Amino acid sequence: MSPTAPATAPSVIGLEHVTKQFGATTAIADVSLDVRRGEIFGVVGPSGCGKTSTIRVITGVYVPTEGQVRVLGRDPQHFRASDREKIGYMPQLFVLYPHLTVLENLRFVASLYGLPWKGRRRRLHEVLDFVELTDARHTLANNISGGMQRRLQLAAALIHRPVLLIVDEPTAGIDPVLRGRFWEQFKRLKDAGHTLLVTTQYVSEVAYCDRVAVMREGGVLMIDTPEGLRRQAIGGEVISLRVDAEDTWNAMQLLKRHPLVRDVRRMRNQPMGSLEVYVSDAGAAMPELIQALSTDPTIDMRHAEEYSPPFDDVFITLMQQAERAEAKRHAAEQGVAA
Amino acid sequence: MKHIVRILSFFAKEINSVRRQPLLLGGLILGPFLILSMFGVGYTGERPTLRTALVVPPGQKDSELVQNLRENMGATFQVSDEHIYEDQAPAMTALRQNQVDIVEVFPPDMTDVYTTGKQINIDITYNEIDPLLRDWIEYLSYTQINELNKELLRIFVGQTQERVGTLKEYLNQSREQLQSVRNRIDSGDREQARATVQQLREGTTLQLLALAMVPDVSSENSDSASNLQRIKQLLDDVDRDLAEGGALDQQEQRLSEIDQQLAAMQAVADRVRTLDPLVIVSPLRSKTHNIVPISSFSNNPGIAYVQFYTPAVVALLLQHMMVTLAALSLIRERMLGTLEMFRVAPISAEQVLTGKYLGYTLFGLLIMLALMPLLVFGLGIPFPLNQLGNFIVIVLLLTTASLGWGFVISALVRSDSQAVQFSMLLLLMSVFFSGFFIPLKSFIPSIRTFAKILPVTHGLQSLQQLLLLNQAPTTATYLWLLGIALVSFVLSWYMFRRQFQRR
Repeated sequence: MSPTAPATAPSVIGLEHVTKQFGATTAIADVSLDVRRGEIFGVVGPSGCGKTSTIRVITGVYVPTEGQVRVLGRDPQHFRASDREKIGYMPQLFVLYPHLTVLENLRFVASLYGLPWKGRRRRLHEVLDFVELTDARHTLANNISGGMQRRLQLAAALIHRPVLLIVDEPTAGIDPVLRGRFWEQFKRLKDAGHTLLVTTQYVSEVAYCDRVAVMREGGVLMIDTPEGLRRQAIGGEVISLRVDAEDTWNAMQLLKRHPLVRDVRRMRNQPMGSLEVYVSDAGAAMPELIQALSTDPTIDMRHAEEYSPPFDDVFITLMQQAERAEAKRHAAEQGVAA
Repeated sequence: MKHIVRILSFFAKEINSVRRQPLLLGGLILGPFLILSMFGVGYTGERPTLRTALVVPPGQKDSELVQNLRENMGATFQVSDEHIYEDQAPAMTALRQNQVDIVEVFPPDMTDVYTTGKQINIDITYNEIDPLLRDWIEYLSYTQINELNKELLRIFVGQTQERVGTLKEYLNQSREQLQSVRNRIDSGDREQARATVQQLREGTTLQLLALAMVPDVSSENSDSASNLQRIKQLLDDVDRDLAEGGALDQQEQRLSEIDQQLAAMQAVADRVRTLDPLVIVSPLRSKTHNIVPISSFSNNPGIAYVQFYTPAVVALLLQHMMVTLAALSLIRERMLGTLEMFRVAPISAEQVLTGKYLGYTLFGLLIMLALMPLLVFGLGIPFPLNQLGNFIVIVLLLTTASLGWGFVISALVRSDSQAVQFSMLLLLMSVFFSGFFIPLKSFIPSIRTFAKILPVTHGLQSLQQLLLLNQAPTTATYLWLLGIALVSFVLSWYMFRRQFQRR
């Protein structure tokens, strides 16, 4: 992972309490976030949670019902052509022309963004190389695979060298290998100085982002780094320990009594002796716990390491926490009403 | 510069999209050529022929009268031997079974018209749903009966002329007898003179009776009758004077007048006899002159029709092609989702529309460039080179005006199948109301005004003028097409801009 953009980096996208309604339907509600220059900002959430609506507000396609939006220092409703030229947009679906070749589609988008004819050829080849579509450049877009169409769409978003790249679910419906390549390309773009706003349904992809906004039912639950999210979900950090199977009970009793330990659980689907130990700071707690276990002669410790639970688990936990909080609030409101 | 690059992005895209469809291109160029060629080869340009059943009086089936009737009915009415009936029922059955197109019933008294003094009805029955053919049958039946009437009249006039021949003989004899009367008066033989005068009176009475039996078919006849009356009166006076012993000079005066009357009648009789019966029956005939220079048209009716219809087909094809392409264009952008990309991109609705106009206009011109030589060299359609400039301007205006309506359709509809349906409706409207088949002057003024909003109405008129008559279109034609192009552009731009707008 490349270094995270410092908190002091200038804001490229800023949303403050933005709400978008279509009649009685609320697409997004009270969304606030800021994307800093040079970072990959992820927006994750289940289908229909408001990710695409948020992007459309940012790109100026939707006019917000309430709140303030600033993109590249300007309200998207007052974008000039020169502002739009700084933005690259990759929509969720393939929206180029199936009866044009890969190269013709790219030429079309290049002209759309006013790329001068002089020097365009080199840029086209650069972008085709970047998305690995050089060999398919004379193939009709209709005749290339779904993954290649997504790469062509990415190339179209990059052709005019945008400062800000907004990508809506780029990896939806494609195989894991290709998904990995997409994120490699995003990382290279970030390294080249681009700012990326990427939405995804795949929770595991959060790990590739510098910061992530978790969305649910049109609102932002939290914004944090991937690690920060994990901590918020599990209430700290996790140390994975393995002891002899017959020592499991003794080890758990000892650890539960230790002041640095919040909780101890047996790891699911793992052999006896595999334990998850929840602490506030794994780095500080691990030596202390190893010391404590080694002083007990009845316990034979085999292995200890800091453990990162998968983001799928993190995400499920966060959603469950949100649901519980909402249920509690709902109950409280009903109690007040009664 | 960027503005131009953006507009041209659509221009190149549309051209690339269309050139990828060789079947469409081939169809657009070769299709009209082949259709017009087939029309030229297959169309005879003749009036419809009507299979006719004749119902004739009993016993007349093989008569000379029926044979004459068949000969005089004209080539339009085809009468085969098996469809000559003496009873109406089987003829009507043949009509119902579509073995014949019309049934004509000639009544038994058809030859007695002049003796009965009443008009005779010839019943004509047909079995036709097509209003155009119905009109044709009504018209052709009318002309057929007209021709039959003329033929009957011609025969009758011939008979009358023969009777005029007997009048002439009477006149010759009368003048000889008149000279004899004069001689006898001069010689004082009054009795003999009276006897000759009485013979003359009897002859005159007989001629008067003969003339009274002849219908008054000409003024010459009625003049003869009054002349005879006068002669008879003068002869009465001479007879009375001879009996009463009147003065000779007075009788000579009367005899001179009689002679003059007879001479005048002789001149009339000569003229009547030598007149062609056809002139008496149809003294007037029409001779039409078309001031439109159509010398370049082929004498072959099929080819002449092709030459006349080709400019209209070209105009209709161009309009339909442009309307369909434009109608599908914007709706396809919406359905593909590219509109979302455009909304984020630095491009406006005007630039999108302008780019598309440019692309399709060039495409239309290229199609015309390929099609016209085929029509000129393949079908012999005239193309006056001095009208090339006007031709290009008309094609450009027709193209942009048609594109405008196409884009209006595209902005209105919600799917590409709707776009095709609306394009077809516009085509149907154009076929009926543009003057393509039915002349505009056949419609009420409000429909004629409505027809003017169709680009093809002006397109086909001006292309016919340009190609067939070597005449430049009127300023009004240019203004109408320009007006349609502008109004439809503004309308489509307004509607597309609303769809393009960020929400």
